[in-house]
Amino acid sequence: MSKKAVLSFSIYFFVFILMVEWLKPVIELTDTDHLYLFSSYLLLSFLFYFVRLRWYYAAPLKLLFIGWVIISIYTDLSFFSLDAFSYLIEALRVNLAALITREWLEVTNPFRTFLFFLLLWMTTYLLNYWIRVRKNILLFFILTILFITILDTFSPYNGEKSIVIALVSGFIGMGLLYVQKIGIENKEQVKAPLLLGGVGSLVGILVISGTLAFILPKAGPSWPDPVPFFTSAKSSTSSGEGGSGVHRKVGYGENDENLGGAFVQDDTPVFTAAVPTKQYWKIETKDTYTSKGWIQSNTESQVSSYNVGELIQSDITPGEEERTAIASISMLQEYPFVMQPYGIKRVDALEPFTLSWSESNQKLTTFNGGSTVPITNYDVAYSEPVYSLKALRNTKIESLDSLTSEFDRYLQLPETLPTRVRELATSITDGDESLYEKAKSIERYFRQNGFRYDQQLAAIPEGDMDYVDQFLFDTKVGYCDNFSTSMVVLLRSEGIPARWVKGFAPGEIVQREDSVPVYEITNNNAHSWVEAYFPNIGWMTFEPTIGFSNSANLNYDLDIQTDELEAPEQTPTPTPKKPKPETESAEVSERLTEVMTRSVKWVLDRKAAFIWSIIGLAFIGLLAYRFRRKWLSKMLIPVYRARKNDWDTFEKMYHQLLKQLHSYGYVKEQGQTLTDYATQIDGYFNGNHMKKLTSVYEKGFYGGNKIEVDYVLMRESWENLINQLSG
Amino acid sequence: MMEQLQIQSIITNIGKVMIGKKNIAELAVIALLAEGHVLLEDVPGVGKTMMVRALAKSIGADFKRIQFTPDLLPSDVLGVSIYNPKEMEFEFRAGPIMGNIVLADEINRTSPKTQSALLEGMEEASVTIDGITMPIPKPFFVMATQNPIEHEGTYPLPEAQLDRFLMKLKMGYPHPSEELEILDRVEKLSPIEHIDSVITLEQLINLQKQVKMVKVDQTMKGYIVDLANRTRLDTYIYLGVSPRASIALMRAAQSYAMLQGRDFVIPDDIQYLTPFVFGHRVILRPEARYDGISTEEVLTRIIKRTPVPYKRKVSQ
Repeated sequence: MSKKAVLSFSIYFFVFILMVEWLKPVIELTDTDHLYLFSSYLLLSFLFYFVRLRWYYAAPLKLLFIGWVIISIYTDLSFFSLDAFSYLIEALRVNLAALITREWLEVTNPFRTFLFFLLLWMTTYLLNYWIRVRKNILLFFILTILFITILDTFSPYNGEKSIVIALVSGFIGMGLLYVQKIGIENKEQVKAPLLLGGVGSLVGILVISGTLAFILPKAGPSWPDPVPFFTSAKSSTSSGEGGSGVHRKVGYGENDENLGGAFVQDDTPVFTAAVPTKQYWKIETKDTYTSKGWIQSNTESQVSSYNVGELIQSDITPGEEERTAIASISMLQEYPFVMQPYGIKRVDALEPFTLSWSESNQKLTTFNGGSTVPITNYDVAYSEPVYSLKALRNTKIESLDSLTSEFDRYLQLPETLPTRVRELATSITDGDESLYEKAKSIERYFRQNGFRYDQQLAAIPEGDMDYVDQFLFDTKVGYCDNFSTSMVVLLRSEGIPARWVKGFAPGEIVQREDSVPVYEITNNNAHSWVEAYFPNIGWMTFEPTIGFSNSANLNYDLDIQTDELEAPEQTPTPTPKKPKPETESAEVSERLTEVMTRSVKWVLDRKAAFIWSIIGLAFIGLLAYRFRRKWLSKMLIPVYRARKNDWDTFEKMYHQLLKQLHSYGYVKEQGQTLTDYATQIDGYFNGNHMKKLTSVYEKGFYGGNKIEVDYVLMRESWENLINQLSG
Repeated sequence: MMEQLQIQSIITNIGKVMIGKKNIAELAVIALLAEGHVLLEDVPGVGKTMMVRALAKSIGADFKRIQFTPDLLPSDVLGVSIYNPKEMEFEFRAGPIMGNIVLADEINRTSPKTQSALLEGMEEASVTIDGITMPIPKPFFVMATQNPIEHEGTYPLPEAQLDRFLMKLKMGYPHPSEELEILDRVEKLSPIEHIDSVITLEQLINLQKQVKMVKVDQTMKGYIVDLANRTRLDTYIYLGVSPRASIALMRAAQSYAMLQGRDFVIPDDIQYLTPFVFGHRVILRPEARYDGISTEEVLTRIIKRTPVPYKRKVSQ
């Protein structure tokens, strides 16, 4: 073989290797087998292209190969038999029929294989074009690298080797192509030194840089692995997630054994709730803190069953009867439990199910026929509990002694809890007389002592480290789990029974149904907060997380001076970073949103009209632009006819004419005099109007003689020129 | 209009003697009307003398010719005071400069001393001898010639002195057909003998006064200044033109406008005259010569790039 042929062969060979690197992940990821068969097909194709086999030889040969592959994979028939032939014909007939009737699923596997071969055929054809004609495979090379790296990143495919192989063969292939190109451009035989020099230096550079890159120390990735982000954005179910792994997806999950770590945003809607006021949606509580997270003690506890519409006896007393409101909930994801507003009284729904209220975690699970069922639409009647401030102020520390043993699980703390946590609790609540004040002090503590809300920077306790201790003393950065867990632990350190509540924050108003706001709750709204128990009062919610507010309703029944009153919005937030707007600004934004929504709706209702008028206007504008020469300058004639016959008008007319001439492509050079230009223009139009106008203009402009002008004559000349322009 | 006819008649009259080269005759007349002087640069024998003589005859003016030689003294140009023993006093004998139309032939052949004597006289329109200043009679028009070919034993005019000439013209050879006509004309007789004056000296002086009346619009003055300024900034030009050149251009343009029968100057006048008026006043950088670019080309480029004012600057 000549050197040229060697060169050409090498190019095809390296491109073949690149192509195989495409094939590998496809075969692996689609669970297709027989990589070697497809590779041989590619080899065959490139071989044909290399020897420049005429297409009328190559095409039947390729078809023969494809047929043989199909027969040998899918049947036991001998290829050179009549049966095999009829099998192929029949397969073709059936599949073509399926294609014509667009029954995509009817297409059989042999035909799919055939189509895949066709795809490969086209690809090799294209590659041959790139090699033979364009002499450039850079685009293909880049695509290959992108393809492999993307698959390596986002799919189970491991492309470590492939990337190296593809890079090396791609670079060598490009280098060889370039050598070939030089040879052709210089119309010389490709000389061996050039070939050796070109390829040798290329390989040398690749080897040296590759070795260097391999030896040099490499920094870790500066970005976190993007895969979880993409996967979380893709999948919508969130139940059962959590716990393991560095990154978790935000949302409701049941496993809270290992808290901490960054969260990935997920705005998948979970449910919508038409409810008059903002509600926290409680799902369940947990009682046992493990120093890493939460678990539930005695899951086999008491369960009470209720029918639809039946009054539910929860351990939180609802408010007054007349304050009962209805929350209409539409689930967008399947959960077999009820989203409980505080003060839940009963659940109404059209669907048949029974509710079971668990004593242990206050979860309202929905059952039907002995198994849990998700319900989609239900109404919850509730009346927000109201607490008497007077009674709250009277919650004495001594009263805690009278707590029964059933509260023990709400006072549980791990033995490994560092003492400084307890000391902190004592110091925070020092001086508070009532239990309520202690709880409030703890709740407030997070808002004033350098704590920060961040979903990404939350740490995971390692080794013996305590989750709460780490947050309170080391990081001070975290999200709701950190704040709520810490508050529960601090409350318990002070002997106040407390439990960790899981559920959803109120969400965002998306629309209004008969003036009742409809909130949309997404996975991003998954939240955790605190319930504390005060003897004689009962369970009461607290919201320690910065940026959230959920004060329990208080009855200001104190008979003391008002200045000692606790403000209703008792959470004096020193405006920390707010992931959610506070109530007041939220209302403003609600109103704004409403106005926005209405105007958008108004436009949307008339969408068709708008679009048609825009299209119409655009069309008219386009026509006007297209035929601007026809009308634009003609418009000038009546405009100037309306003016006086004097120098000023004439001067303006003359300049307008110059402008028009310019826009029609008769450009006056910078250094060109008017006389010269006029001669040129009159040459174009075969007249002398421009010269007439110009001499008058010059007389007036340079000579200052503006009186002895026959303006009528000038106007005639001017209109003549303008008409000629638009004609 | 009358002025135009008078001027045209001079040019036509010269044309009787000078075959072809109408534009040179025209420019010479323009220079005369603008009260300037002309430097004619050309090889001998192309009709320089003939033209000047024809011009002098056409206006009925006194024609003097000074043939410059290396040994010519200033007194040979200006005149000399000679002691008259009879009268017992010095008597002034006027030199050839005391004429209306003076042909200073081959001016670069004489010593700088003599050259400057002439040039001073041109500039001042008067001569000073022995402390007595005598005005040169009007009209006074010097046409100096120099031979561009011979450099041996010549004293090239310094730039400062070139500036004294309003224009520098080049005759060039006549077209073969024109040359044939010249031969035809001079075959039997000498045409210069047969032309008469077409206007009187008084009329000429009046014309010179009229030239100054031609309107030069403010924009045109600005245009002249712009052009002059650009010669000073051009990369190919080592020395740009002086304000004297701007004045000269304006004067020449006025004169040219009158020749065209206009009482105002238009940009075309200025563009036409710029090479003749500015040409000998700029010095090109050596780079221009290396690039093979002539003064004319540089000036043409400047004219092309200088925006012609054709609207009032809008006073906003």
